[in-house]
Amino acid sequence: MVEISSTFELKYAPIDDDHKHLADIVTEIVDALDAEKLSDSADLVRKFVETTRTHFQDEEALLASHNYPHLDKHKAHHATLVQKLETLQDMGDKVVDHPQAADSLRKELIYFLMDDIINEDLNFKNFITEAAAKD
Amino acid sequence: MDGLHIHGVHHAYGDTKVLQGISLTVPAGELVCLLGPSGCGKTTLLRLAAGLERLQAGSIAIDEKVVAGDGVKVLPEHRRVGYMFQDYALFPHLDVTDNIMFGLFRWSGEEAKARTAEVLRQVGLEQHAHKFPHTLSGGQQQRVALARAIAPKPRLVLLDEPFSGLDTNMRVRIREQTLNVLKEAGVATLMVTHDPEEAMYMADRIKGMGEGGNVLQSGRPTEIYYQPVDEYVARLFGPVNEIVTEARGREVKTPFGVVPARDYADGDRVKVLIRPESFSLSNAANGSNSRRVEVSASHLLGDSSLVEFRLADQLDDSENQLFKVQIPGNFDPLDHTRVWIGLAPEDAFVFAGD
Ligand SMILES: [Fe+2]
Ligand SMILES: [Fe+2]
Repeated sequence: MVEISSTFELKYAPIDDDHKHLADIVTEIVDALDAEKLSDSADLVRKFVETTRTHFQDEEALLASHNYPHLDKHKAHHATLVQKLETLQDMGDKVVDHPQAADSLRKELIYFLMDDIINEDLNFKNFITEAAAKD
Repeated sequence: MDGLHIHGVHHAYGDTKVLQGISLTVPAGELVCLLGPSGCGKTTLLRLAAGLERLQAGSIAIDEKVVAGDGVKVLPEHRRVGYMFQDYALFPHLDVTDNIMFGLFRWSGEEAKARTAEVLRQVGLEQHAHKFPHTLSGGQQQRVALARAIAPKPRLVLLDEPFSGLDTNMRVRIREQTLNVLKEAGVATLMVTHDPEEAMYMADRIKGMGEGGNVLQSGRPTEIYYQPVDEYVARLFGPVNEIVTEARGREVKTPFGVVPARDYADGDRVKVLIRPESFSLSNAANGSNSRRVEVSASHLLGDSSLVEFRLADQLDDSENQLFKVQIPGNFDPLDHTRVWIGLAPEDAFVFAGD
């Protein structure tokens, strides 16, 4: 089970909830891989990719609405991750015929979620909690 | 999540910033490698994780427990961290067993003895339990250091250029064994190195670091090697051939065929980078992208050959550029021999020119 524990929380519900939702999908993928339901896992990776794209858009809109000063940098970061999403989808599809790639997919999803998505978001943790407190 | 979680670490010595906003996650059982030149702050980051240096900004958590930052500072000896640092030598006056037992001072005598025997078996040194460090080879000493690092069952292992003191053959064997032992222990490992091959071999994930003490790219070894985000990251893996030219029609013409350049407009100055190992070399034309060249020199490197060449039809041009190709096996042509060079377009990297 992939959990967003407190060191990974921004303490700002709209974003933390999104991240938890992404973690839930990763958990579903890991469960499907463990159960060797590989076409299910490929579909779930598709869902993860779509949900992540939407999350990036929502998050960018939210940061823009609060005039986050480093918005451009964060958008550029999202853009590089969108490229990685293609690789993830590719890995998800490949696993159907190459079950031995399941481990790499599992690993990559966890790094993608924790290291690429959430770690970078923690950079605006203070900004967003302060902005929310002012509202 | 169990493992190491570093967030937003900045560090400076006086006015010199050595780390600028480093964040990373190493899940338990995984190995993450920071790859960068010396002076990029990577050793400082290890020292901060170990608690050997005071954290100036950011936070560090091991297995969900904050050990530095947010007003917390857990002493190094309470962090359950094992290290293998370059300068972290064995105690010369203690034998192998006592070197390992030293870190187990909180354990009961019986447990410490049993654990020491267990880790010595894991690193294949049970025969050398009572030898003194100076009687062991460099590789054996390194394995004792590894045994000592993992004996107290740390939650995190830190490796700082751990194999740099070893000769090539030894290095290959020791790193393989080290990786096996760490994976078996299921411990989170953060390693720093400037050696790209070592990083590629050991790491589940590589973080390419710039001179400013920041992470430029994170990814699986294949990803960061084949899809570097910029010129700096591409060059972290060794010397590259460089062609400076202009983009046209979302493409770049090179002597080795047309390369896609989707992000560049007509007339943009671009740099095309090609790794020596990305070229193929043959004695006959091989597909439309192959190009006839003349060998200038060749060097056998052991299991591969490095061949220097110039474009064959531009030999009168004093500007004629020297390229390098590295191919497996022994290729020892006479100088000025004509050969054919091929390149798969996706193996060329295009970045903005200066
Ligand atoms: Fe996010
Ligand atoms: Fe984000």
